[in-house]
Amino acid sequence: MADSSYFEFVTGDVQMEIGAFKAALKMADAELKKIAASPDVDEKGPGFEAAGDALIGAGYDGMNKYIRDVAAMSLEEVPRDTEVLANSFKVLDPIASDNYIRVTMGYGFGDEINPKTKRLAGQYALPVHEIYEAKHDPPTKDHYLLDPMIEHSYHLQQDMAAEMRGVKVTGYRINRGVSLFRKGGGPGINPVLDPSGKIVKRKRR
Amino acid sequence: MSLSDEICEYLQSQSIGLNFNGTGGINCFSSHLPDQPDLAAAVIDRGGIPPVGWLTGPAFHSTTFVPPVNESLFDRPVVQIFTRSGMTGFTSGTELVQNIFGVLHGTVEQVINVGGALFHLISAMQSPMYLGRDEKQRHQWSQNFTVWWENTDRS
Repeated sequence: MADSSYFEFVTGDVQMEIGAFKAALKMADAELKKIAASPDVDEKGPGFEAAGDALIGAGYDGMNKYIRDVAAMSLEEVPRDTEVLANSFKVLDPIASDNYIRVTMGYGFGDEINPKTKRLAGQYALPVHEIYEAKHDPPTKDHYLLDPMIEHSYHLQQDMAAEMRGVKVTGYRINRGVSLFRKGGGPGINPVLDPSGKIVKRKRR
Repeated sequence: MSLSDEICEYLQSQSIGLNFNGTGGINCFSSHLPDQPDLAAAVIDRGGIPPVGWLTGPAFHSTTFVPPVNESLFDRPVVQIFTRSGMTGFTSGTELVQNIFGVLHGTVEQVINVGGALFHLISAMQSPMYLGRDEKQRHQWSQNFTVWWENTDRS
């Protein structure tokens, strides 16, 4: 019986959840707006929600760094005989919704025919990926996409966090010399509470 | 006991037709799938994400400093199950593959073998994948699982 043709793409998904993140920024902004209503605030910044897009973009940059690292390692480890399998590697355009940004990458794409086996890469990408006992010349191996993704997964969070830390989030600036806990202004002092919980004045040193 | 041995013992105990170290024909193997029998499965240890670590201490005893010690055995490897059936055994192979998937996927906070290690989670990374036929026209499948477990096999 001849083998039936089938296409099995070997792909990995990288997804960043943004829905909950956006909701948290909105809540933080709501709290910040209450403070902004105070007469002690003399400069109102754009707030967290306005910085949200920049933060999400930074997270996405971190995700892309992970994808580039995984792709580089994977292209070293993918078995190479005729280069057809390696050439079938692709990173698809990101898909974004209100809740997530997802990037898919993998092998088996395209219509290049292997000159030795007369097959498309999509017809053998999966068996080559999964058959662990096949002999490959080092550093090529099986699990040529899964292993790099796992190996670099530890850095994904760090890469995203590092990019986000670079984003400047400007909030609201409080008038100099005024404590948030005092109404009407006055010299900047730390609030001191008496036993009943009332704020009492304390002399500046 | 190694991870693959633990998984093999567990699969044997679930009466899905796999025999690791019982009486009769052995058809469940750890780390290597021999050429016979045709209907068989192999459990292969693969790498994984870094283990979870936590430190105890440090302890100070007068002028002696006792450095902290990593006491965590919480490992998070990947396990691959490679299954094969005979040339005319596609149905029996599919059934075995689905039974393996059903047994392992969703295992939570369980000591899967008597006297064995604690498994926090076994979760499938994808559905079982059909790989086509080998050089003897036998059918082949592969499936991968992430495993979170207390690796008592290491100190």
